[in-house]
Amino acid sequence: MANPLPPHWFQILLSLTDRPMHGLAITDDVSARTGGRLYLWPGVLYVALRKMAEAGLIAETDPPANFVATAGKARFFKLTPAGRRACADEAAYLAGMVESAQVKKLLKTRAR
Amino acid sequence: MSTDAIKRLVWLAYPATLRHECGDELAAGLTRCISAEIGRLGSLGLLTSSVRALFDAIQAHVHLRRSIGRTASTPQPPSGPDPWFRRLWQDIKYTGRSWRRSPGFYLGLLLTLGLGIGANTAVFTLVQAVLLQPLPYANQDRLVMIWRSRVQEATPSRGVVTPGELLTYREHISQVLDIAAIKDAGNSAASMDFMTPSGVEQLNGAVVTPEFFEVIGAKPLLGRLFTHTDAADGYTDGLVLSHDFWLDQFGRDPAVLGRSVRLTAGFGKERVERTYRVVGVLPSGFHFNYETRIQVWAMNPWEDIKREYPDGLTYRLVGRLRPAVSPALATERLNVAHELANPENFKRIPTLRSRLRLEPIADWVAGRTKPALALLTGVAVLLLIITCVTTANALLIRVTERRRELSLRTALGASRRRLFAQLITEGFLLSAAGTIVGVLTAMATMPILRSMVPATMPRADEISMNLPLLGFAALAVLLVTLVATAAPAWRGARLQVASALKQSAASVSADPGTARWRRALVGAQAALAAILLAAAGLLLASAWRLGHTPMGFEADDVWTVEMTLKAEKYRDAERRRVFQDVVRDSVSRIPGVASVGLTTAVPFRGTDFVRATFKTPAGEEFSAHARYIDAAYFPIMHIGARLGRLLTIDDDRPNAQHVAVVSESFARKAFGDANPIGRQIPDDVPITVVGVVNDLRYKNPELTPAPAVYLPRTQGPSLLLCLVIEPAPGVRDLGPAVRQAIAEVDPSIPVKGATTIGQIRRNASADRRFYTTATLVFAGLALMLTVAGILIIVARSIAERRREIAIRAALGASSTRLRRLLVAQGLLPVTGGVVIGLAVALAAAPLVAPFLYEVTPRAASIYISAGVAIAFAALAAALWPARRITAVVPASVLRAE
Repeated sequence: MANPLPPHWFQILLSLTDRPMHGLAITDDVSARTGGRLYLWPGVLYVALRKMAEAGLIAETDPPANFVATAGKARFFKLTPAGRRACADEAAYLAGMVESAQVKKLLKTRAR
Repeated sequence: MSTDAIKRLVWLAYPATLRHECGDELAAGLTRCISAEIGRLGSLGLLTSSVRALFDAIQAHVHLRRSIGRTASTPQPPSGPDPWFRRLWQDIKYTGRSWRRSPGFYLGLLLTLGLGIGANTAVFTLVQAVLLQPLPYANQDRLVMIWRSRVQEATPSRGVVTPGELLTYREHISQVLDIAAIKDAGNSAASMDFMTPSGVEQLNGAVVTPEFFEVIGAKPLLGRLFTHTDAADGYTDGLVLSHDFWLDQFGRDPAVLGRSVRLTAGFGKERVERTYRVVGVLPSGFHFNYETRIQVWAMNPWEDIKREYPDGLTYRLVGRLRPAVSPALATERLNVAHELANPENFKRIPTLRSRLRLEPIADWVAGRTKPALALLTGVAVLLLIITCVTTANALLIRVTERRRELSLRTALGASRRRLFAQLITEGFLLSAAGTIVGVLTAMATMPILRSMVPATMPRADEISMNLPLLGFAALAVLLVTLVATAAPAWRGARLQVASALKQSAASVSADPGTARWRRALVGAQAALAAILLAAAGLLLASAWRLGHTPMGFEADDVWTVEMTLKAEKYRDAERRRVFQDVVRDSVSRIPGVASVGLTTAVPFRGTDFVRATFKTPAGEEFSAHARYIDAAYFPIMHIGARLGRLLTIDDDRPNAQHVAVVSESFARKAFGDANPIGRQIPDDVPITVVGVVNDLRYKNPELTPAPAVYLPRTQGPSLLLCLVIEPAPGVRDLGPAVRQAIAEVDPSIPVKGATTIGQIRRNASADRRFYTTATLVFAGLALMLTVAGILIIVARSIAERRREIAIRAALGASSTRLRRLLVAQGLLPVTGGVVIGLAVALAAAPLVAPFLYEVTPRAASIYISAGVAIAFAALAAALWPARRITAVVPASVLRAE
């Protein structure tokens, strides 16, 4: 079984599932999705990106054609297959948690 | 600090690798976060966001080095030596743990440090307010007071100049100085009467030349100040208010500008009421003369000065040195002008020949307080050193106790440098905590401190917490860390590993190196305490002497008020006499008044007329105080006649024979050893001496009195009048009733200074009381700390030598002998320290000499008492732990090994 993914890594991978993004965009996306609960400050963010790149979960890529750099050089990251697998594994794990909560009647089950 | 500067600082906190790799993005992200917070919370947002950013930076550091759940295939990079901040954080945590293990010990240390640093903080804030804080003038280094003094004089005097001289100076020295003149404090034009709803109030005013405020470099709070063009433009009726006056009389009304104020100033025929227009208000904290706070400022154009009587001593002179002009050059030019203005000056003998001298304005303001503050600072610093020494001692013992633990760490691979760093970190944290405690205590007790400072200390009301204080605190931390914790840290890092580990955990290890250090430290403590105690003893003796010096009179409960008869109607001597009689009657009718007397001078306050026309039998001139009194004066002041009799009511009649009572020193000077009774003092009408009284201390409780002659007031009814009022037993506050009674006679006369002579006397010695008390307190604290230090090392010594004690006891030594042995060992360093300390104190005795009163700086009895006091305290401190020696059961101690 793979090592557990730190929560903020999971969120970053989730953001990158659709399309490659740069740091600030990832921060906004994660913040929007978690309803403001998780706001990634630059230090934490860029260290995480670096480590994930080292671990092979993401890779640096070219910016899209229509990107206008507003604040200096911006690096874009995309998801690698390994990263996609890791994200999916973690999502499945979390889904398992949700199911347990539903069984314990903590969460309402969706009507089939 | 600007936002950008803070952002830059925060930016630098991030790991270097991160900054190199993704610098731009990092900066952009940071800016966004900070700006968002500022947008939300304003300037508070800058603070909160920088703090969060710092946390973020720390997290970044931590995460970079941690291995977060990665796939097993990725190899871990080998971890190098811990970076410095990691080690620092470890050390901090370690310190926290070791403090938690013995909270009592560290709390005690904290309090000790807090004590020393708190005392120093208090003294520092005082010194800062009085001496170091810049005065409210522009560029005060170039601002000087120009005093009239003598070519040869014992102490430099601060005299005023005449209008004639002033005009001459102005013509000749404009290249080196910009000068301005001020008439204040004591000048009749400067004491202005102001009509308030509750009566006439005599204000401390000042009349200045038009460029005065420009020369000083003052800025107004409201409106404007006088400028040199004012006179030419015709604006001569302007009035500038002091901040306090504006507060008291106008309730900080911003619409005060342009209001008219009627003030009456001058004497007799020159007494005139003028209407002024308020043109400006000075900021709070602006003072020129710190002894008498000036309330209103009026302008005297140069044209008017030309019309003044040219030879009256009137004006204080202040000047601003022009750029690149040295004080020596300015003095030279000034004196050239002075000689021009006084063509006869050079003919006089040096002790009477006048000249001008410059004094930097800061020195004038600080005045007499510099020596006292220097004394306080010295004493406080000594106390700080003692606290540091105590702390060092305690820490040394602690280090010895932790030998095992430290040796283990060494055995496990910690380098000496690492151990030292850790111990120094502990020391630094302790110093920082102690400094915080000390500064907070000083801040909390600030109101009490402020109230203890004598009112005569200028600028004492400016004591506050400010930036230089933080600098001082930082310096204190550094100093204490170095002095108190470095040595123990050094020793701790150099412990022998093997021997420490060999000893059983339960035994208290003895380390000869630290034992020597401890003894030396206690000796140092004792030496410093001896110095402080000797100083305190000398000061205390002086205070005691002063308190028991007979002043010559006994009038603590006597009330006194002061009046000056300035109105034109009082030009006539007869009217003055009548007024004095009427006022005396009016006041004596107040219920609660036992008797009323009249005089021209009140002890320790105000003017005391001096006449220089008396001659010794050899024909030499001497000066004496001439005091005009009535018959009730001597009885009220409890002054009795030594020879002859006192003045009676009959003497106090206009056409009575001219008689006088003289003081003892006057009699000796004027008549030598002959009986003065019946002899005559030459005057317009010869005065017959009818009695002799003791010399009275009038000017200053500490100065030897000058000769005085007491004349009946009807023979010279003065404009200056003081009442001395003896209250009936049990009567408290006569002030309002007396004012009322005087107002009934003539409501236009301002009544000043209604208080008791006892209060005046206490004010006069407030300075001495202040620094004597402070030194005493510090010396007491020093003694306490020394006692604590001795307690510690004796207790420690006993604990270390339990085995040896047990063996001796088993071999038959009595407990008394054992006790004596231990006490003697504890006292040896103390004795050495005391001897050295007293020797140093004796050598440095001349430093304290200016503060002593009738006590020789090397008075043997004081030094011996100080030594004995410490010896007794040390003995008690050493006996206390040693008394339980017999409780040590030999067998169990030996078995435990």
